[in-house]
Amino acid sequence: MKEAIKVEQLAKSFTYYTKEVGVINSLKNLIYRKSLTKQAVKDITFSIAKGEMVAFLGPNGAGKTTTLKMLSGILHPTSGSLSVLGFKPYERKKEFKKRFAIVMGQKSQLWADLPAAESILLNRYIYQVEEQTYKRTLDELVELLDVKHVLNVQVRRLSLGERMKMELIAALIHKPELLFLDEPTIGLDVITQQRVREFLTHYNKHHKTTIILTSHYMKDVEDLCKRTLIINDGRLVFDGNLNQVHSAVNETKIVKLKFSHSVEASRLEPFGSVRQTDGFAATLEITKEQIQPISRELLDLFPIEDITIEEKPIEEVIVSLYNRTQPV
Amino acid sequence: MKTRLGTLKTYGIIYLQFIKNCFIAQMEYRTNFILGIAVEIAYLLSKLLYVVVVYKSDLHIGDIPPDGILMFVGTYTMMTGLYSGLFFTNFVRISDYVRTGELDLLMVKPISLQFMVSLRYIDLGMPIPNLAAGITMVSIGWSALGITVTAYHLFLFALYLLSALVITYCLMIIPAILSFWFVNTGGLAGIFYAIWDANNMPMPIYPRLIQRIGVYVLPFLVITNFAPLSVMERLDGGLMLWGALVPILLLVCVRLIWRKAIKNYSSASG
Amino acid sequence: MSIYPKYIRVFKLGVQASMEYRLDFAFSLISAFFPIMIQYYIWTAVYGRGSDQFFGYTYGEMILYTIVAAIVTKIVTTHMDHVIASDIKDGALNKYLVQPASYFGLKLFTLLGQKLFFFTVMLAVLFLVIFYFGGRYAIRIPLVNLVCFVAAMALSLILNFLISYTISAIAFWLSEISYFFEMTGLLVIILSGGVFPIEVFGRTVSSLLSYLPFKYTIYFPSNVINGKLVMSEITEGLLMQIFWIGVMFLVSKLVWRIGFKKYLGLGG
Repeated sequence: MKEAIKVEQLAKSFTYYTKEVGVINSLKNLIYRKSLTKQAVKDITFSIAKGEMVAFLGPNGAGKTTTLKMLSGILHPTSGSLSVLGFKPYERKKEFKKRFAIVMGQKSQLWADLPAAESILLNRYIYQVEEQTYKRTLDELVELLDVKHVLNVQVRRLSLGERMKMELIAALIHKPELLFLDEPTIGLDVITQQRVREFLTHYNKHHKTTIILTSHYMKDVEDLCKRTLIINDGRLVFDGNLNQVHSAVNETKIVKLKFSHSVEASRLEPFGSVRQTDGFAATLEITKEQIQPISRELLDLFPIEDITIEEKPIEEVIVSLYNRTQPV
Repeated sequence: MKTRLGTLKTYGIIYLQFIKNCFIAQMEYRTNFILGIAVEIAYLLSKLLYVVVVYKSDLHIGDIPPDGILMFVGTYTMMTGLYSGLFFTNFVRISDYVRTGELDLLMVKPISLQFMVSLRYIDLGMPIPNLAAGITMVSIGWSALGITVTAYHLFLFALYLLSALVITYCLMIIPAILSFWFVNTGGLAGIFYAIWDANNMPMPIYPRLIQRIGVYVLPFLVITNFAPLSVMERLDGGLMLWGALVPILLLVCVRLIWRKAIKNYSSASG
Repeated sequence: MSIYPKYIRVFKLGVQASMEYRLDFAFSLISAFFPIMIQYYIWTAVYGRGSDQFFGYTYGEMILYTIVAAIVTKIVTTHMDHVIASDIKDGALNKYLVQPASYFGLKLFTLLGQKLFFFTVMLAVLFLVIFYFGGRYAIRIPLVNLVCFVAAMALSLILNFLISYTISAIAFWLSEISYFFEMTGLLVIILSGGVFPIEVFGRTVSSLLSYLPFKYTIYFPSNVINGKLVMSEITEGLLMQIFWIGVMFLVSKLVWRIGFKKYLGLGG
């Protein structure tokens, strides 16, 4: 079996209740509550091969975490089919649970009042890891993440970065085949983020562990994952290499101009959408096919000192993707 | 059978880890540890006032003399100690797990979620005063009543204490489990604590209707009455059987409610 | 009053906050019912054995004491010590220090606002209880006792606030406090006669308690209403309440002044 994850037409909706204030309304709520349905994930289909490293990208509330929770069996899907390592996650079979791990950037599985070593040891018993294997794995992870000196320090006293590294060790101690990471670098400083990324790349390469991560940070995704799934408003809007995003969605380029003397903004408007102008400089967004004729025309008409043509920054491309609700 | 034993052993090892971890954590905060004991002593004092009243007014309940009543108060005190040490902290935290979503990380572990959630924290300090006072009171009452110390009596007493422990677990976890559906169940928990205190006195003090409810419907009264009643040989065959049966029935019920709660969590929450 | 708009404001905020918690309040009323029930059966069993006086109370007086003391305990217990102590701990006190209002005044008026709603509801409940049981146990309570009771309750609320306020100053010295206040709170209730009338503790202890302020918060008002005290004793009790309010006011000022010195020494 080459596929680690296979998802078809997966959907998840929640019901929630509106609550109005006041005694009368509280009493009313006891008898009848008006329920509303929110569709968090809408008919997503994809599959992920073993050993792949894939990122879920999307704005807050897009459905990334909900999808991750369904893949790990925390949430029941409302409809659709999914298979993870050959199991149906929502059945929460013990054999399934032993084969994956999940790390959430904003939640901790470590006991704050204890040294991380104790929580990791507890996981050894919970996952029933053989003592020899346990020792070897622990040594390897501690070495790779360079945290030997703080293994026996109370977790409460660790820095955020050290704590995240400990979370990773606790999650990987049973050598899972599949690792889910929900915002693993959130709140970390740039250097630690870099270290965590290097570690994940290394681990993925050496252990052939399938890694699925969600992130806000573009850098995480660019550095780590060849393949990115962009989710917006519960739909999968892009599935592929991030570099292809440009060609897939980007029909415009950015033209930056500098003038030797002041040019009124209104005179630029016929050539493209004006993003910014202050008289002596302006930024225009112009469709790809028109770049050549329009820049020639601009050079003829205006006192131009300097002109540059650039791709739109990746973040902006993503934002424009987010605004889509249909697949590319 | 062999795998069943293996599972039991795994859970035993994990429970020992819990105890060890709680011990380490509590030693980090020694002042808390000592103050926790002090709080329990204060509660104990307020309960001992009842004993004072019993002896000063030479209270007889039916034909149970003050020394007999002491045995009931002692059992109640011991059970309070066990409850505060083994269950209380866990049950209080359940609503937090649901609210903060910390439950997610516990759900993916390959062991029973109910085990993890409801038995993870053991308080080693709080039960000390209650256990010590409770055992003392039971011993005083036992010898004052002249009950012979036979293996049979000790077995009976231990059996109904064990049954009481399971019943305590099942009843007191109910408000906590309800927090899967309702945001605030603190009020209900408060009511359960208040009912719990009804065990402070032997149940023959209550009218027949209350006794029936307390034994058969919401079996709070089984918790501290059956152990002393059994060694005083005041339990008839039917009640003895019932006392052994209730914990099993309740465990099944709680298990069903728990499953429903988790199902609700997985399908309704975000 | 218009000179003190800020106190009126915190008073109103207190009233609003109490409305938020009315469901908790309803639940706590229900849970208050159980200890009353237990004690009711205990006393019924005790008095059922023939003698008609225990600890100096008749059966009717004892039952009424039990019920009234439980309700009075609910009214006067403030939980202010937790709030004040956490203000001291997390540095929220600084905010109040720079405001041109006294912290003491702000807390007192917040409390009064919070209690206004409960106070009214509980008084209504109490009067119903007294009306019912008074008839049942042939205890006649003159109107003047009811008026004195309301006065005694108001004084007792203030006195209890002062006791809490004084105890909460411990937070200036002690690092871990939430457990501590649970303990002191419970002890104060016991000593105030919230569990049993203080005669239960025996002659020595109860005469000792006469030299302390506690019994004037629960024990005294409860006995005003169950008809055990005669008019001269009631007047004396009310005067003692006022006396203790004065004393505790001074003690709290003193303790807080010392505490502040330590607080500023550390924080500044």
